[in-house]
Amino acid sequence: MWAELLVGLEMILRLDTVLMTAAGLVLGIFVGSLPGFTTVMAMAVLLPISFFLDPLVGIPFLIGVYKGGIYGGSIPAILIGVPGTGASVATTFDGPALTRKGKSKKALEMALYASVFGDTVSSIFTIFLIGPIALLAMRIGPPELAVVLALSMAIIASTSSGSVTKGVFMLFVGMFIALIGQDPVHGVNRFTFDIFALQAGVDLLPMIIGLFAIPEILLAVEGKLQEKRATKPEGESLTWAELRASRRTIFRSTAMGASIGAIPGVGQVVAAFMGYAAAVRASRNKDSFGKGNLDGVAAPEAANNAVNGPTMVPLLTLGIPGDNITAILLGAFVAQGLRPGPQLFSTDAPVIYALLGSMVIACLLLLVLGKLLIPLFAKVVSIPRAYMVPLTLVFAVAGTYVYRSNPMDLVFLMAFGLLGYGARKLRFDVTPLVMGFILMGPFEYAVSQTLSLSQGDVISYVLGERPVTVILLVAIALGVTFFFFRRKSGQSAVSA
Amino acid sequence: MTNALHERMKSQIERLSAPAIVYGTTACLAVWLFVLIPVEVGKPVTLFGAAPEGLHPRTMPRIVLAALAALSLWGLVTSGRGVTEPVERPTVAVAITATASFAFAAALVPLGFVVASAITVFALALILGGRNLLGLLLAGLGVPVTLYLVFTRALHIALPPGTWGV
Repeated sequence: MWAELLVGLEMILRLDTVLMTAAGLVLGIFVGSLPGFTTVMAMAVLLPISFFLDPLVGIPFLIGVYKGGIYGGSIPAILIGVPGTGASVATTFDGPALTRKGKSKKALEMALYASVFGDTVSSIFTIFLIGPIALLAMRIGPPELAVVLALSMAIIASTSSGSVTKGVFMLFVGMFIALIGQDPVHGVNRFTFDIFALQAGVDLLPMIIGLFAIPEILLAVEGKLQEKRATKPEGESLTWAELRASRRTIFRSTAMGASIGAIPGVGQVVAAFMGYAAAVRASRNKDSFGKGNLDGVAAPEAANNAVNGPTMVPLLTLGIPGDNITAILLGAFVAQGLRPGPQLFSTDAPVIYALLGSMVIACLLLLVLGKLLIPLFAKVVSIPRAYMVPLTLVFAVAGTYVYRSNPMDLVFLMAFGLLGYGARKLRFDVTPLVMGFILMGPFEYAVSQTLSLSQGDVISYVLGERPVTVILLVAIALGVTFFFFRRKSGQSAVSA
Repeated sequence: MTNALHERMKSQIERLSAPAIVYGTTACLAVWLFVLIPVEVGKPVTLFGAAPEGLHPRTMPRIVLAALAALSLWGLVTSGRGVTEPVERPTVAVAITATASFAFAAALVPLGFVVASAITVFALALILGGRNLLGLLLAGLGVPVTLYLVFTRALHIALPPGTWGV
């Protein structure tokens, strides 16, 4: 593990990687700063750029967009009380109050430092955690993999926003879409209706861009197109004493965010709210929260950024994306010829460590770029949507086309765009659909291999030779029950 | 009599919630696709008379479509219960943007990236309330040209050149 880690870190220390990560961060903060434009949309729109770059440049670029976007959302949340992304909703509790007190510069700097700390610590934690988990993942066989995939789908469907019925419904819609084309075992055509373009199945990339970018564009148009007044950071800089005073809050939120990140389907929004609630509970001065307490900015920002690292663990070790953002990253991996899953560590471990190392580099770059560019991004808040919406649309459509230069991809893009918009309007979460689509192929393949291995007697095979499968099957029931009751208390995954 | 029946049917349809329509349509589609499985899903190739190993290609479609039909029916039955959340209708601006998306997707290859982008961005920005001439020129012309040059020259990614070569 150590040898691969060192080789990986050596691979990532390249100028082009650092420059493209910085470019991704700037673009991510830019989009995150625009109220109504989410990190998911930024990643979906910018995804095609990564296809044409080396994997060690293209994927760090997207990681930069991801980290920049999550941090960028805090800028409008603090300055104008409008969260740039879902992850920064909890920042609006204290951020605008600090702005009204003339302390917006302190708030923005606290958000930056808390974000960078949470993100860096969780990324380093991920680097050391992922190796042992990958070793465990490599030992599991087709029956265990089938059950883990089923467990992930069940958790994602039951933690989606909206009702459980809607979540499971969308999961099965995604699973059906994945059945179109050739089956993964025998190569037999399924539901192609003699249409040649359907024989290769539906491609993941037009689906992701269509479902995540087009609906966001249409919803941004639907929102009030009123101009936001230009603003700039005011007041004095954050002092060392103020940062030290918030250290417990930042440590606590980082630990909470990192733990939440490893669970598929929970995400940044829940982490930010839980971090904020924990900070209020632990504070001796509870009344000051909501009235401009710096801990009220540090807590959600450290927590939502600490989610970023550990979300990569289920993706890289088992090929299971935990949320929309990791689903987009999965698209980037697949387009680069890297298929996340247990085998990836045995074939490309240094590349994986290199990519995880790029997460730490992105965090350090975020500190520098965020500090230097806060005044510039504060102005981004006021860019009219009338110009941003058409440009984003152009990027989404052109980006889809350049992927394979296949006009059929544009048809899929628009079809999924309308499907995604309709789903958002009717409060059907599209995340389970994407997860069902991604996980259906590996699930069917794993089930098929299990049947072959069992030689026709699955029950005796599983009970006699694969006890871990039985334990995991019990975990499905417990996991679904836990998340079903957790969502009753009002917590669910929301788009970051 | 016919008018009364017509009115009754109309009021019944109006009372249907949008999710109920989605569930109903999906249930019908799932049943139809389930029936089509023997036609639309082929049989695996049998080599030397030996039965193919593993999962039959028709098994998973059967499970998924049966579950989808059952879930849709469950959704249809339960969607009428409780308080129905109002669904906001798409605004005119959304309809225009959606139409512009389709038009841009259709025009991208024949007109080329720069021309199709310039027309789409300029027109859409104007419709969405952009009145600043510099902003319109920058967004409508500056950004597409810059993007075209960055993609084709720096990243060596081919964008549709169109009739005019850009």
